[in-house]
Amino acid sequence: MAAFYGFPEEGTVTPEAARAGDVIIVNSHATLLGDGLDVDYRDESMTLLTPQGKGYVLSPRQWWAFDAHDFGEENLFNRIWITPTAIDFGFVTEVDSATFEIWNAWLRRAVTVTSRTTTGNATGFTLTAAATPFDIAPMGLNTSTVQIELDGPSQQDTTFVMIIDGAQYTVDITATRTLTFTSEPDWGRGLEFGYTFQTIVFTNPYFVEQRRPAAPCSWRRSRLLFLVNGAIAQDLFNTFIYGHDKVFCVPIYQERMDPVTLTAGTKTITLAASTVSLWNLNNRATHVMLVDHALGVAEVKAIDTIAAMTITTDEAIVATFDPDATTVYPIYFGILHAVKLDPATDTTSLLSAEFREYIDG
Amino acid sequence: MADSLLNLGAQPLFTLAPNWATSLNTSFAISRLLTEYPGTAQALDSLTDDAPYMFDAGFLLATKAEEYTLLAFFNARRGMNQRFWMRHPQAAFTLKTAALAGSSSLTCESNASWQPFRGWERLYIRMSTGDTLTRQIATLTHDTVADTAVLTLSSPLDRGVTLTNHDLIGRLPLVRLADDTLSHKIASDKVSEVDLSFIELVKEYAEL
Repeated sequence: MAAFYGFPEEGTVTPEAARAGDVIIVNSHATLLGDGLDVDYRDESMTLLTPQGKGYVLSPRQWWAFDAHDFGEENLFNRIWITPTAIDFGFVTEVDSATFEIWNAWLRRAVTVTSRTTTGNATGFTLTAAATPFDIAPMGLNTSTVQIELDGPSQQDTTFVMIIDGAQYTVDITATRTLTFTSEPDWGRGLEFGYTFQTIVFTNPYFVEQRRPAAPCSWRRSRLLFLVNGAIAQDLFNTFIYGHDKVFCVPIYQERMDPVTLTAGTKTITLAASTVSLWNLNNRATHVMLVDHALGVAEVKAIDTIAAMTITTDEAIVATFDPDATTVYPIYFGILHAVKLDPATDTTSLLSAEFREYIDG
Repeated sequence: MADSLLNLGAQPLFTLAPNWATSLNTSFAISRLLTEYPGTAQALDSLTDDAPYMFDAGFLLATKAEEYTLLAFFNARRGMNQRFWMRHPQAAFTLKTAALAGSSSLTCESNASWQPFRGWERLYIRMSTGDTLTRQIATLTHDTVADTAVLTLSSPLDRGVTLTNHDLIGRLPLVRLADDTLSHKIASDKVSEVDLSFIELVKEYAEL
């Protein structure tokens, strides 16, 4: 049975009545001290480390500390904590997972998770969690894992609703799925790439100005022309129709990189030339797209690190790419603003598309 | 020697040179109060002695390094938001007599530049070696006897400037970009072009 002790003054404390499993809090003015300190408080006295205002929460041979000004024992215990209550997976370019926890912060009371239901999108994720109903012991922790899948709604919005001892708790899952296209634009007609800030300028007839930046960074846009034929033209046009309300991975073609090695199951892409002069890659890119132009295969990987001649990805490359047929592009996430199909012949088309950067949030 | 960049007030200098093959044009903003009614005479009132430079220039980016420089500069300036010094690509003064190292005076061909002179103007001297000198013009007067424009610089020259060892003496206005959008026309994965417009910030010299 846990016990609760409060010591308002700095000094030496001997919680003689404490036993394994007890919780001891010294004052309510605690400071986060880290973890790992091993205190056998049953045999030895415990000395406060700093002046009045330090606190400890002890479980058997371990301790936690916390900032009690905002998060004290009066707010921390005797309730249920769901952490986090919202998980945003951002742009989904590969399978990803996250966990949420139910912490029963009741000191002496077990709770029962009687049900868990899903509202919103019912597909696009895999939940690994204990079957309901189940109990959580006092101070016990239950962990569930959500895996976001590549396939699913373009805008994932799912809520897990849990009933715990009659009260409702929720965890929101959000994500934005992305589309890719593998056709290279027609370089013979040139590309346009733009960077736009939003500055509010006030000026008067005497040329006095006030300028205020309204955008924290430039928004990018691309205007691309594709000269495409037959089924490729149909594929691209249909992809754009399908993606009219969705987010695309837009390659930054002018920063194309030729790989020397990229191997399925590894995370390192070795490049043929230095990346140091590629501004978007080094300053704005979070992902790269690998496109095998011979096979028409594309894969988008989150960037872990960028060096002069290598890019390391967060997750291993899945597909098999031929380096001699593959190009690596940094990408930005964009939405379609205009698409126009100009037939050149009955099977060949000149397809123009304009993308503008999508800032999620 | 190296560049001698003085009197810039800690504001950056835009270093890329315009492409003369594309359109380069310069104008200035006009502000005045003209009062008129149908069928009446007009009344012209001056609002300010300032007439800010406005000019457009194209830039050919022949390497990825030049492209990186331009994009880094544009994004650091946040489009129209922040100011910088821009070397106006045309000659503003024609040197008439050589200036010795340590001198703070330039004697140039008469060009009426003392008429719109306001006191905050900067110039740059592009030496034949490629070095750039920047200085503030403290005074600019007309020597009516010799019919020359006499410039007194805020800081002395660190080298002699002769009629033959420099390419150009140009204006160095404090500017911002006139547009929040940089439109990058990409010819290949190496070569691209950009057109930029600049406007002088005549009321912000006093802060520097």
